Amino acid sequence: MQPLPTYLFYFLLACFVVALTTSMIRVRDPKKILAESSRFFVTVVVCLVLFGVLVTVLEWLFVRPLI
Amino acid sequence: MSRNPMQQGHRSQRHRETATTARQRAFALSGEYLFTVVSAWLIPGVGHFLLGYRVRGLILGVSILGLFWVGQALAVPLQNPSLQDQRRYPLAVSREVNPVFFACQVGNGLSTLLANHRWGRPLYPNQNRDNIDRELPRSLNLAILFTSVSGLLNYLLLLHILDPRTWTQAKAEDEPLRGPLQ
Repeated sequence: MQPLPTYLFYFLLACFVVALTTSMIRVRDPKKILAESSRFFVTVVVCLVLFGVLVTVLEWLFVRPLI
Repeated sequence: MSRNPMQQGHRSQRHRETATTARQRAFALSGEYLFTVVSAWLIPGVGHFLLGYRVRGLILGVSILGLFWVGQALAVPLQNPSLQDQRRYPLAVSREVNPVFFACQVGNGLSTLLANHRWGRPLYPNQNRDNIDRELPRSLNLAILFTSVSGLLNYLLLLHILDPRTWTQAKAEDEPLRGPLQ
C-alpha cells in the first residue's frame, strides 16, 4: 500500500474510534450513538482536512519560493 | 375492596422517599468502587462491564485495545537481513525514550505496563548522541500517536467511571429496562 492511502486509512480509523468512544460515554440510545458518532466523525474529518489544506496553501505561498 | 386514597398517597410518598434514599446510597466510596476504578484503568471497558453496561464495555474495550495494539503492530521494524540483531519487537511504548507520550499511553494500564516492561528498553545507551537509526519503522510516529490516543480515551472512560452520577444511574435502572447498547 502507498504511504498516502495508508496514512488516510489510519487517520480515518483513529477518528472513528475517538468519535465512537466519546459518543458512547455521552449518549445511551444506540440510534443516538450512531448519529452522534457520525456527526462527530464528519466534523473531525472535515476540520482536519480544512486545516491540512490551509497548511498546504501557506506552504505553497511562503515556503515553496524559498526552495 | 376499595383502598383509602389517603393511605395510597402515604404509600406512594414513602415509596418515592425510599427510591430517593436508595439512589443516594447507590454511590459510596467502597472496596467495590476502588476495584472497579482500578480494573477500568488496567483493562479498558471493564469498568463499564462491571457496572452492568456489558455490551458497551465490550465495544469500548475492543475499540481502545484494538487501537493500542494496531499502533504497537505498526511499530515493529521491518525484517532486514543486513542487521546483526533482529529487533523484531514494537518500539512505540517506552518510558525511557518517550516519557511524555508514555504519560498518555499509560492510560491503557496493563497493556502499556506490559509493553514497557517487555519491549521498552532503549535501543541505544544515549539516544541523542548516536547516529540516526535508518532501520526504525516508517510508521513509528503513527504508532506512537495511536497508542497515545487510546491511552487518552481510556482516561476518558476512567473519568466516567469515577463520576458518582454514573454509579447512581447504573444502580437506579432496572436490568430489563436497559436497551441493547446500555
